[in-house]
Formats: sequence, C-alpha cells, structure tokens
Amino acid sequence: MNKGSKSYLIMGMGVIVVVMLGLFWTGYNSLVDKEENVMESWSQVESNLQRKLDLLPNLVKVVKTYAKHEKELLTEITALRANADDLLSENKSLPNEVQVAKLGKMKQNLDTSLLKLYAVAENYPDLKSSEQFLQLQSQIEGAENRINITRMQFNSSVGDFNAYMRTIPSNIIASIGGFQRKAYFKAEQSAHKKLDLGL
Amino acid sequence: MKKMYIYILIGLITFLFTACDTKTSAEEKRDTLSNIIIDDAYIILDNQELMQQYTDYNEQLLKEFDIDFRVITTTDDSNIDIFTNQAFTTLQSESRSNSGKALLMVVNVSQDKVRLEVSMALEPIYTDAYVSYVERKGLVPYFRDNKVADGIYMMTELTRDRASEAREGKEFMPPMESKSIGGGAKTKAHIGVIDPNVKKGDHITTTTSDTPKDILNKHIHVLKTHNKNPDLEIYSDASKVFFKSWTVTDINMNNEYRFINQCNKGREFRYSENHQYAVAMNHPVKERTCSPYFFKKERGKWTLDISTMSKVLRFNGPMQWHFDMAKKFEIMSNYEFAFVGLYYDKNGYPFISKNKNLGAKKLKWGFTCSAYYDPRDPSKTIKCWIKQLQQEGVAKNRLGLQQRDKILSAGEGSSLIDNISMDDFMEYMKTIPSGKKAVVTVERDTGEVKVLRTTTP
Repeated sequence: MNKGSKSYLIMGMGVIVVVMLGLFWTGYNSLVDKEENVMESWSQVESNLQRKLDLLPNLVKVVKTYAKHEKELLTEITALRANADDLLSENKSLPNEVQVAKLGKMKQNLDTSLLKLYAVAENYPDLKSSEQFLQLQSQIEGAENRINITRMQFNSSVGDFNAYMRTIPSNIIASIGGFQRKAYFKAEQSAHKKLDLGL
Repeated sequence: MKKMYIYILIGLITFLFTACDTKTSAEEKRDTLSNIIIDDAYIILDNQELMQQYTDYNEQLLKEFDIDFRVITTTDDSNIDIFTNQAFTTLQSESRSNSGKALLMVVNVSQDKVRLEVSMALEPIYTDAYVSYVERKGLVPYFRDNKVADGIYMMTELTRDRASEAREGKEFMPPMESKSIGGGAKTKAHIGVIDPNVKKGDHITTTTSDTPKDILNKHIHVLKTHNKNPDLEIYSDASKVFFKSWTVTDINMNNEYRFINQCNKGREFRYSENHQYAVAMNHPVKERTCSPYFFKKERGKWTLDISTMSKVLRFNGPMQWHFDMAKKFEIMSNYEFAFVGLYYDKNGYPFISKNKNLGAKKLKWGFTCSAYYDPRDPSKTIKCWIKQLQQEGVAKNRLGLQQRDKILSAGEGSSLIDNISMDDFMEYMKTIPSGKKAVVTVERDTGEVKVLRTTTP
C-alpha cells in the first residue's frame, strides 16, 4: 500500500468515526428528549391521581353527614385511599411495568368503591341534591377526566419513545446508554364505564 | 440532457402539487377557525339576532380578558370528554388568545350532554366545581326550555362576570401555552326536557295595605328562596305572562338578590300623581349600579311591573343600568314622573346635570325638562322636553307651556335660539326687559307647532 492510499484510508476511517459519533450524539440526545417527555407526561398523570385522592376525604366526610349507616363502605374507601397514597409515594420517579400495573389495579378498586358510593347516594335524596356533594362529585369527575387525558398523552409519549428505541441505530445507542422500554398505563375499560356517572 | 429535463419537470410537478395541497388545507383551516361557533348539529345559528349579540359579547371577552371562547354543537357518538379535548387542541393550534386563556363548550345533541373545557391558564378561575355549578344552574334551565342559543349566550355572560370578579381578585395566571389537560365539567344537557318543578313555588299573597316597599321585600324573599312560581300576587298580570315564557335560573335569581341587597341604602319610592304607579329609585343615580323597580296598582293592590322593566331596562358588562331609548319613549310614559330631572346620553345612561343651580331655577319657573332623543332620527333630538310642570308655576300659567311640550326655539328674528337647552332658556328669559314679550316655539305631543308669547313681569 503506497503512502497516498494509506492516507486516504485514514481519512476515510476518520470520516466514518466522525459520522458514527455524530449519529450516536444525535441518537442519544433524541432518546434523552423523548424520555424527558415520558417523565413529564407521567408527572401530569401522577399529580392528577393525587388530586383525585386528595378529594376523597372530603367526599367521605360529606357522605358521613347524610348517610351515617354506610360506615363499612366509607371505611373501605378510606383504606383504599391510604393504600393508593402509599403506592404513589413509593413511585416518585417513573414506575416500571409492575408498578404501573399495581397503580392501575389500585385505581380500578378505588373506582369500583366510588361507584358503590354513588349508588348509595341514590338512597339519600338530601345527599344527592346537596350542593357540596354535587360539587365534590364534579371535582372528582374532573380529576378522572384529567387522568384520562394525561394518561393518553403519557401513552403517546411512551409509544413514541419505545418505537424510537427499536429503530436502528437507536437500539444500539439505547443499550449502550442504559435506556429501558417504558410501560404503558393501560385503562381498565370496565372501570371507566362504571365511573361514567351518566352526567 | 433529456433526462435532466424530465427530472426538472417531475420536481416542478411535485412542488406544485405540494404547494397547492398546503394552500387548500390552510384555507380550510382558516375558514373553520374563523367561526367562533361550529354548529354541526344545526341547533343555534338560525337565531341570527341572538348570535349577533353573542358574537359581540364574545369579541368583548377576547378584547377585555384575552379569553378565546368557542362553541361546537355536534352529534358525534364518541366520548364527549375526549372529543372536546381533541377539538380544543385542534382549535387552539391557532388560538385567538395571546395568553393561553381559552374555553370550549361542546353541546352533544345525540348524547344530550354539554361540556365546557377549560384551558390550563383558566383553571384557577373556572374550577370544575364552578363550571359544573353554572352548567347545572345557569345553562341547563335554558336547554330544558329548548333555548340552546339563549343558554350559550347566558354562559358567555356568566363567563365574563366570573372573569371580571377574578380580575379584581387578581386570580389570573401569567401567559402560557393554550393547552388543556381536561379541566372543566360536563353535565346532562336535558335539551327540551321540561323540568316539572321549574315553575313551582310557595304562593305569596299580598293585601291592599301592602306598600311598594312591602312588595319589593316579598320579591327579595322570592329571589332568596328561588321561588320560580310565575303566578305570585306580587307580579302584575303582564309580568305573570312574561314569567311563564321566560327562563328563570337560580343563578339569575342569586345575581339579582346580590345586587338588590347592595341597594337597600338610599332607596326612595316615588309615586305618580294619580298614585297608580310607583318607582323604587336609588341615589346617587349617576352610579347606575342600582336599577329602578317599577310598580303599578292592579285591582287596588301594588304589583311589580317586571314586564315593563324587562322591555326598557338594559345592563352593561359591569351591570350598570341604562334605558333602551327606543323602547323607553314607546312604553314608559307611566313611569316618567320618577325620572324628572335626569338626562340621558345617546346610549340611555342616566346622568344629572353638573349645574347645581338648575334645580333652583327649575323651581323658580315651575317646570323641568330633559332631553328628547329620537332613536329613529337623531337629528330630531330636542334639548328641552318638558317633563314636569307645576300647577301654579309661571311656565304654565303665564307662558302656557304644557307637559310633554318640546321647546323648539326661543326668541325671534336675530335673537332666535334653535333647540334651546333649559339653561339657555333661563338665560333668554333673563334678557327680556320687563314688560316686553318673550317668544317660545314648542311642538305639542300631537305634533302641532305652537308659538307662545307672554309679557315678562
């Protein structure tokens, strides 16, 4: 190999290294951006879940005033709320697939109990027409709607991240950079149908 | 070379297609977004007059508070929450608000639901509980009466009221992206479903000894208890008919109750000469925050004449009252006695002349006058229209002036003053030497023009 060919080879290899570094650089940054989007979307979901949980003690208090005999159900809701609160506190950062599933299950149980509570309210006309109860109901429904909207936004950013991670060369960059697939926060269809209060 | 021409041609065609396509979609988008109401369910836009008022109010909301309020009516069968949020995102991609303040009301006719979506920037002001409350108490009653357009108009008014209160309390957030994460509330719309309890309420009786003040107190009680019974004895016959077709909501009643209670101080009752009519007035009138209440006697008992009030009284954004001048001259003659000494600007806002001595001068001459504004022909505006004439006054006995005379001019020849104001009229009379004749030209209520002459004392 003559001197000229050697220098061409070095230059070629240099270009390849620069291109590869460039690809790694942009790919890594894109993954970081997309992961940040996922984290931001999750924080919205989390804050709305918390918002819903924070409204429950007030709801229990109002129902207690009108429906003193429903102690068992109210205790059940209070316990579920406390569990959910703990679960949320445990998952301050982005939860993994198992944790998301746990949160989903917790939400479903809570929604089922809330549905029971609304059904109970039907037996107490004063409670049902009380402005305080109606306002709390609308606030909880508002929180539920926000959870749904932010959940959709979260799933969309998770989808975007996961799809990008599977493309070449992002899959290589992701494994080098230690990026992991994100879990979707799936809606329990049955729970949502039940929580539609017919408003 | 030939190949190059083919490539250039393909490139050119592709470019043209792309450009045309972009333009078409942009145009479509603009057309859709230019409508603040997208009436896909065809339930509101046929009410042209109300929609014009709505458009004006909507523009005001944008100018004054930078709030972009849109309305969509639809028959879409998807989830209303998700539909609204997606429509919100689409519409707000070209928001009219510079600070992310936006509201979207969706009325789904086939699902019989209504939802008001609130942008993040407005969430502290229009909380879910507040939105749910105004939907249930302020909007649904109109929907039940099949007055969807009226309901939407009312919602815009309530939105403005709340924004105004919030501005005073400085609850507005700094400018942000026009985005929603599902804030707001939905409720069952009940379109056309009459509420069987809506026109019911305890019967309120009156006696012949009840004064207008007693009637007003009973009305305040009716407002407080949300009594929507249109057949209460406190109302005049015409008012009963009016209430039967008028949509009354708890929110309207609460607002009126709030305003009326703020006006208990300084309220004065004025009576007509024949004692058949009365008006509750508040002072100072220039503040315009306390609207007058009209009373008339029917079958020997005082009643509230809400029917006439609804025709002549109007309120602006900050709830200041004024008259609808066109209607005032047609139907309010029975109540004119209470407004003697008041002047009105062209929009019907009352004011009192700045000349403090005017009252004394009026008493001296035995008459008072106010401006006559002809809504059909502003050039016919008369500065002095005689509203009250004292029986023993100089004006009536010496000059021959009559009530409701319009003073066209005073003087003659070189001293002629056309369309003379009351102040100038006083000055004119002062300039006439004792024993000389004063000349006044008036137009009578019948349209007859008369020249009156009198010798000054």
